[in-house]
Amino acid sequence: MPILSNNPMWEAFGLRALPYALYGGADIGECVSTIDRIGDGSADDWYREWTATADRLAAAARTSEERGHAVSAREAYFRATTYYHVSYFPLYGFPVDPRLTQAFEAEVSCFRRAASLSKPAIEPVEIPFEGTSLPGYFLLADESGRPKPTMVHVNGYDSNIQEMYFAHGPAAVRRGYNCLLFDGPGQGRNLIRDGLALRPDWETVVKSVIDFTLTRPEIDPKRIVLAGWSFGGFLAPRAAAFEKRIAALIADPGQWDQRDGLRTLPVSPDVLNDLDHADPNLFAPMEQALRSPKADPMMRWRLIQRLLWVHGKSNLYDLAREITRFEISSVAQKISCPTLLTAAEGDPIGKGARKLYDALVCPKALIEFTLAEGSGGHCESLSRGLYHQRVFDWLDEILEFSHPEQ
Amino acid sequence: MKLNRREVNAGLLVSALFGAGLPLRGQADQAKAETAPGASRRNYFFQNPTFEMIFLTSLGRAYHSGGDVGKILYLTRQVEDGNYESAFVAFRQAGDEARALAEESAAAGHRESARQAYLWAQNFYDSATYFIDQSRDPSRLLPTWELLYDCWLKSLPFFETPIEPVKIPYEGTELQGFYMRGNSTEKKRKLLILVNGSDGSMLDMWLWGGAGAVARGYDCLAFDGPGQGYALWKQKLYFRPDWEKVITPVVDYVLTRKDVDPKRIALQGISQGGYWVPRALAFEKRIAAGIADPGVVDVSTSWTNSIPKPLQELLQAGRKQDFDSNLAKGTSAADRGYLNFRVRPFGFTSFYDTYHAVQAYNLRDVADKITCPMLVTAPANEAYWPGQSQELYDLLKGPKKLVPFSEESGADLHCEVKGTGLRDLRVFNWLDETLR
Repeated sequence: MPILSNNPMWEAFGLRALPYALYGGADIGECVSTIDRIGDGSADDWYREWTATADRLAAAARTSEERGHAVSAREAYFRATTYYHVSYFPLYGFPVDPRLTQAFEAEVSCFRRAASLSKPAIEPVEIPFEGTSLPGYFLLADESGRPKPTMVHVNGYDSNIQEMYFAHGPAAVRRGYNCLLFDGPGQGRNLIRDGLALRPDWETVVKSVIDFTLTRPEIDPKRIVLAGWSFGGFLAPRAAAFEKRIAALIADPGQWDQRDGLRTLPVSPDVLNDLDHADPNLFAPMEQALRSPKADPMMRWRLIQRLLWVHGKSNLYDLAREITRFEISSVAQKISCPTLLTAAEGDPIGKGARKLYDALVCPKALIEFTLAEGSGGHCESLSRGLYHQRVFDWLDEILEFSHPEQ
Repeated sequence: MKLNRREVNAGLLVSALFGAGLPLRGQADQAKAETAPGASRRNYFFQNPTFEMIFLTSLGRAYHSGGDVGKILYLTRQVEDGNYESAFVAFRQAGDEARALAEESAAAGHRESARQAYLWAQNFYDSATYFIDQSRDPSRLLPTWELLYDCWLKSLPFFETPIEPVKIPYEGTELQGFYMRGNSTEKKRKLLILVNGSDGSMLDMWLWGGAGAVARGYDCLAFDGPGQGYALWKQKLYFRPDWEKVITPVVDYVLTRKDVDPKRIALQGISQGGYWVPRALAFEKRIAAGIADPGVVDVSTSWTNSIPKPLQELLQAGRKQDFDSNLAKGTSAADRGYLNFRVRPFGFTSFYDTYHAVQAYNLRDVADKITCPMLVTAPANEAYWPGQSQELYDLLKGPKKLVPFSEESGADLHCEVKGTGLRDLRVFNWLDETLR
């Protein structure tokens, strides 16, 4: 039974915004009234109504800011951030729709206003990486200047550092942890503005990010936690196999070789195991069907609009070959820090968590979330609070940390 | 006079979420959603307006971290529309689960995890209380309230600045209060005193005022006045219309505190507090600003407008015995239990006495005595006292502001239950400027 909309795509994208109410990234009435106005409308309707709600909040924020109401301004800017972010989901894909860029820029701009009004401030940072830089936000746990345990968050397929703030930031800061959010290749600005595709050797990205953390006196170098969500739950363990300066690892959810995900395709296992030598037209009929107006819009969005763009590929065959390069099985045993994996009921992505768990030789834990707890589904997205409770309670004990510190 | 049960039920609207008006069971069966509490363009989860309103409120509490969205959405699928027992059981169990989570985190010293889970537990227990009177066993109300209150008390040390329980001298006894220190470095700080409605909890005092105030540097004082929470259940103190008799001792108390700036004390009422606050301000002059969310001029309309005309006539004619016996005959046992619950905070055993007493909750003769600046919220789709925000605004003679919340803004409905963010913005921006 749908909650927000009978249109499956609007239901899915709407539920992306609603739960951030928990951390000030949305409010219930603003979400449901916006989705009501869209009804079973088109992507254009979706974009128009969400940007309208976002514009309204941004205007209220600006007025509040001009009159010196910093908290009201901050909260409204935060909610506008989410509403701009949600507005362009259906516009995903290459070439980039100028409306997507426009909403993304408004999203970043609102977030930065909110960040500047936050206390302790949320600092926009640029992390040097291969001759360019990765955008990030550094959230300080407090203004003491003392070194603190620090969360370093690895993103997945279709999020960015603005959304990550609501999914990760306040929960960490309230518990006395610093928090560093960054977008790597294939994510956020790097994808939208610079066209950088995702890459399988994520350890190269994380190495630069950890180098950066070590330049900050507020970060305790012995208590750096690498945490990946969504596809980041694959990328972070991959990096942790090589990056030894981290004290703990979290994969939400835990995942196995991405080749596994292709096994649902109507192709024989032998062909899948040797895609490089397969017929390049192997997926052409499927691709044609997905691109046709009759295709399931959500499937088209996931595979064509999102995955081809993020991986920088022009067809499903090249995409499938690329995806097989994302492999953890060969390096999982090199992970040595304490590792926490999650798996949520109702999330097919988390089905690989058990395989990864079994392969790990480090101290390890697997936490399963259930639909009956309200925390089922990908990344426990409807119940991030419960996720945070379990994960931080585990981390406090692994890192022997308590907040406030005695 | 003959009245059948259906006629009575069809019109009866005697309680409220926070204030005055959950419908009786029979009323929900009528396809008259346009006059029902929570009625707006569409229902999101349930056709029964009580169920819809409680679930929306529960979800709305997620803002300021008071609700676990995933669990509430899960419960929308577990609860059968109109089945009070199923709703009570679902919320009560969810409360027990959240309390267990809180206790586990608290025992291991994980303060923020404990705080949040205690807030969720209160949200669930509080929601459960609205379904008990029409459930299988209404006697579960007091034990559920006790769990709710216990979770509130246990959460206090885990707030960033722990909330301080205080005792407010009142007519030879003490009211239970809770002092929330604002994020301000000033030695003498602005204070917002929070007045609850007819059936709200301390959780709502935190979510509908406390959290927003503390973040903005106001200290806050919440308390259970006569007929509310602890005062009702543990002290047998009952509602009174002359709320200045409550607020004056509260102001006396806060003026004993060195951290309160006596020139910057504000008073906010939500739901039925939208009557009590202006009433008190007509007499208590040490307060610099007042907020009625929403404005309530005449509490009785939510009682009397919803009973059939023949009953209204008996009431006007002062025929107590006839009124009580007709009302009793016209209602089922479960509905009478429910009425008893709504009547209890007034302290009477007779329905007539309560219906009669509530006539005194009227501002028309005193509103012109209010001199401090007032903000009155006017949410669209206000179901309990429709039109009274404007009426109160019109009666006020001092500086005043009417703040509408449209359906489009998402902050419509009684107390803007699903739009706390926008509510806080509008209310506190005004208060900041008024107390500047």
